[in-house]
Amino acid sequence: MRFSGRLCVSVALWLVFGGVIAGAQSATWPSERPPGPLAAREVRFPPYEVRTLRNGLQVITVLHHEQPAVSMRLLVRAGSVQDPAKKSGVAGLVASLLDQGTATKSAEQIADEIDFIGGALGTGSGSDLTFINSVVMKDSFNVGMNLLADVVRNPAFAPAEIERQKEQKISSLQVSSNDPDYVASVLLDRLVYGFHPYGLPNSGTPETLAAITRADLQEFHSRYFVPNNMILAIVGDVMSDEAFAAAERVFGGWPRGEVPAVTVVDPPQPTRRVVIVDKPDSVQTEIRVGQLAIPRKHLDYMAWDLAVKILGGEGANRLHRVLRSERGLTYGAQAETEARKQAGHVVAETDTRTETTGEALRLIVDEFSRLQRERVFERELSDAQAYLAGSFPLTIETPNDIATQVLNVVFYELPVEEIGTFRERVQAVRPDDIQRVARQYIRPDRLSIVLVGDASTFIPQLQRVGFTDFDVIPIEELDLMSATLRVEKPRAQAADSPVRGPGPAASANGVRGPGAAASPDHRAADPARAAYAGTQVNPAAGDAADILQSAIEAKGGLDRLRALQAIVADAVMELQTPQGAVSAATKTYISYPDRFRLDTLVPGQESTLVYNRGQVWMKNPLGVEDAPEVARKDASASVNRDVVLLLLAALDRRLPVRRIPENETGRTPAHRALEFETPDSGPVRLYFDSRMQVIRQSYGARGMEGEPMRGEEIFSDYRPVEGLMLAFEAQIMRAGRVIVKRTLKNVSVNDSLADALFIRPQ
Amino acid sequence: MRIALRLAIGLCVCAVAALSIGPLQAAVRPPKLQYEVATLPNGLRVILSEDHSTPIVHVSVWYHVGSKNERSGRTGFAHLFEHMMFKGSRNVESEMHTSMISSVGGRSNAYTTEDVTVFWQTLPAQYLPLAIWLEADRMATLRVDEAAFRREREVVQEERRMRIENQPYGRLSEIIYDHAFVAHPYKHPTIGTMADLESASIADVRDFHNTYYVPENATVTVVGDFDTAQALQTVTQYFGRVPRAARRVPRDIPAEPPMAAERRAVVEEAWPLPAVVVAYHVTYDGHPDSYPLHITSKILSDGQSARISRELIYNQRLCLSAFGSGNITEHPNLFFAVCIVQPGRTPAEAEKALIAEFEKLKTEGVSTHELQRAQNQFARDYILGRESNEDKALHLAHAAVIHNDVTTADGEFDIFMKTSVADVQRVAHTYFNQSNRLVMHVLPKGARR
Repeated sequence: MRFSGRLCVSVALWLVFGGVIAGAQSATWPSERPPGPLAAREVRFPPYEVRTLRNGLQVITVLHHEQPAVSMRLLVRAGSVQDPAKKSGVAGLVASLLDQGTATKSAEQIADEIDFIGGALGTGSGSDLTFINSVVMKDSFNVGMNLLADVVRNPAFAPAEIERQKEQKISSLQVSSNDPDYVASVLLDRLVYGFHPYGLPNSGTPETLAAITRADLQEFHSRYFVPNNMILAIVGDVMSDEAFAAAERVFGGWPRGEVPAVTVVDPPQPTRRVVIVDKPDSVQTEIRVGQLAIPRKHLDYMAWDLAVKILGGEGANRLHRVLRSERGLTYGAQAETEARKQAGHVVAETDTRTETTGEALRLIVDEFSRLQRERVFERELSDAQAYLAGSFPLTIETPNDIATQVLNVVFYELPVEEIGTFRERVQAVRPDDIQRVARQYIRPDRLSIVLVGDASTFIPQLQRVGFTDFDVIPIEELDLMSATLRVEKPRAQAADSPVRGPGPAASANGVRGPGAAASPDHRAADPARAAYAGTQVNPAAGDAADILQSAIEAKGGLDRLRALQAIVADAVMELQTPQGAVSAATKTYISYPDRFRLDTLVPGQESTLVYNRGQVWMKNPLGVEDAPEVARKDASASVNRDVVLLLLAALDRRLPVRRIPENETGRTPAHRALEFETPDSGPVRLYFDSRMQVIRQSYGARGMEGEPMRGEEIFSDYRPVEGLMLAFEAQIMRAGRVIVKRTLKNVSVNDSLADALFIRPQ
Repeated sequence: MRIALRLAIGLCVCAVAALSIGPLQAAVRPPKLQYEVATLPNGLRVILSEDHSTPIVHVSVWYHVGSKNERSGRTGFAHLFEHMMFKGSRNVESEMHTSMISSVGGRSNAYTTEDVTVFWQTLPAQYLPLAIWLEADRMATLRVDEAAFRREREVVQEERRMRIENQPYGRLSEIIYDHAFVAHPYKHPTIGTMADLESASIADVRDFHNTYYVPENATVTVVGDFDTAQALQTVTQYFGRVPRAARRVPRDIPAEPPMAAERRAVVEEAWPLPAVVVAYHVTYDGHPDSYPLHITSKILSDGQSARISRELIYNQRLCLSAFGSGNITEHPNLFFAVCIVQPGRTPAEAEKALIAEFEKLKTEGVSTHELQRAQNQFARDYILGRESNEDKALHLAHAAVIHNDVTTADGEFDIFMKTSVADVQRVAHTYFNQSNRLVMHVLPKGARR
């Protein structure tokens, strides 16, 4: 800077002689093109360092000396996903209690200390993480580190503070449960993820918060707050060695701990569902439209993120254009990729006046369809890319911006080189990639839709634009922890009954409560919910045996299943490969119970796989061989998973079967689910729709390297063949990705099949 | 947008470690901002501050017009007009301002307050000429089109529904100001009323542009990676050709008469928990009393150890949330405290507790320890509030436009350093009096019956 302060002489002179055209009339304002850019500046990612202490704590330093402050950001790799069952809110409560007293300091002392040094301390949690952020002036760096370590390592969880925080949280929920924006967002998560933890509110509910004990908090803390489960970033006006030394000093002596793995239920497959939350005094309707997509660490993430940006993000945003610029329906409309550790979803959101609710919803859903159906314009993609790549320097401006970039990479366990190659990776995406991911992941007919507003006024609009099937829930009756999304309705009735519990309430109503037989402990532990069991009337409700009976009936009846000997099917298999889809005609012969043959008819590359009571052979143009172990196991497993065989084995009590309670399926009671314990292939689950057809099967599978992964098959287009209901469409998935789509063409039942089909091919 | 909890910006700080163990010494004094200012012959004020740490640049244009310049029957117009500035000009199609900026990786937006309307963009440094050109084009040649105007009016009505009407406590600020003021336009919400938005016409748009969107009413601030001489040349090239205004910018804004007696109000809203408000009229931004008032805000509400947080939330468990702070703006405004009352506690208890805190400021004053804490917190805000180019531009432009003196962006630091416990007690005596007070209970609908 050559000079500072007020107008300097040289500048004044320049103004006078510098070709100023002051006083020109706007009538004479030139018509012109925008000026071109100056020479581009080099964009360099600022220096940072990542080290791991001996106890496993990952420490990141980012040095920045412009302002004399240092901030510390500590992430714990545990959040609401690790909340114990029926205790949503534990992670959040732990976070809010960290700075409310430690072994040696009271809540007041901590507040006095951090406030007095002109620092700040904040804590919180999300679904996959808990964070503790602190900022201090550079001269208080050591004081700040000591305090950070104390609140992270030694929280007291004093009973009085627990009560205080619970009270605060429950009162806050009373406010947010009246906030349409909050309600719409948490309900959309719940519809998309079911009872997967991402579907449950991080903040808990008044009931789950009330159920949390001091021991729950201590256990969460001792399990997950261990150095090898944490990342610490030290950012700002400090030297690298000083920062690492401080981290070593306050955290180095903390022993590592075994972090238990959590097991969670899978999110449900996308299903079209429209839920209206009625808030009659609303002047606007909050709209959310979304569906399950992919987790953050997924090879398609970049292309998918750009696809969603075209739908509703910065740089492109079809939703904003259609809803706001063209029609004035809203102040804002956008779509976002919510990609987390275990799973991800896409959500579009807007708010619009009550009178235009139907129109806005139709437009949003149509944009999902359009993106899935039509190739995006080159220009739209390049605009979205230009924004995403071009804005990179804007995302590394402040020390905390820089730290966020590094923390993201470390937290999601992505390659650190990804920061440096970000812009190249953005620019590498082609319209074909967008089309591929849009086709693969967007299911316009299976979107979850939430509308919060004045239901009676906008429902007629919905019908006019083609939405005829929806649930309406008064806002005060919404309960995210309930399988039906509603609070158990007549609380008064439950209170009147002499004994609160599943038995009396259920029998009084003459209907067996869902799950009462299969999981009595769950119900007994929750009298309020147990009371609800008695008020629900659902013809499909019942225990495992009932479901089994209904499923067999729906499949074609017991006699027909017992008489089943053979199926021959011509099918088209569409293999999803990284290079694109490859389709092949196939012919399958099944000889019940334990032989099958699959011929794949690709000209010049015909192949055959034969399974005969545990023996497996493969034939291709190069010759015939005994199948390798992995293929043999896969073939056996596929026989063990045959739906007809599962149903009959369970009915004959050859296989243990249990009914899965709704809170595990994430489905409404219209959707039943059974779990079969197979001897060789582990648990296999079948999910039924309201007509008791199997719509999904899930099981443990193995990848190419033999690594365990989730296997699923999604069935649809059921048609009767000789009285047997068969799914003409199936999608076979591994780890959440579709690998094969199968469409049946011709099917015959109980043809007599020659034994020669099932011997080693020649 | 007027945001209830927003403190006036542009505060400076002090951090003296009189009592302390010594972590706070001269080292925490933040570096001064480096900048240059110029005024073009057409009256446009220009502030340029180089910062080469990241290859980006922030450009803001502050128009010294906000909702306090609106005439009655046209509330919300300044903000509605802000939206119209994105609807195209001689060389820029409607909505293209935003997309041209985003297509080079930049971000842009605008906001309106009681006092100013601010348009800004942050973008990669080499595109500085584009941002300047775009801003000059719409200052000189805004295009006004009836259909676009009507559509945008609907968008603003949706914004009002979204921000104000459809969320719990969204109207709190509006209700406070409506009861606290009688004459000064601070009485009206920045976003306006639905009826006034409805009656705004396209003639109003043209008139507003001609009156207020003129060079002498604007301040262009550029912060980031550029060369000052080159940037000034660009600013002059594009803004220099905008004609000087034909008439002076009107500043005839009705003053608020002093209150004669306490005002009390009980209103009902469809909110889940009651809210209690205690509000006092105070002075304007830059008045000597404004600095102790800012200190008072910190002592009452900054951090869990602050008085209202500690006493009303933590000790008494009376409020779900509570704060007391000054909304100190260009014209005299309010210092108000709010308590969202916990279930099972009463608004009467909350009122008593809030007033007790103000009385204590007068009778007992504040301790030197509290004063020092507040000053240290100012130092923190000052330092953390100057990390980005946008932050710096905000402080510079605020000083230039609201104080009409850009040097206050740094100069207030020393004023805060010199503020004493006696100053804090003195201003408490000046303003926190019953006859200067509004007490309001906002009850959940039906609670009175």
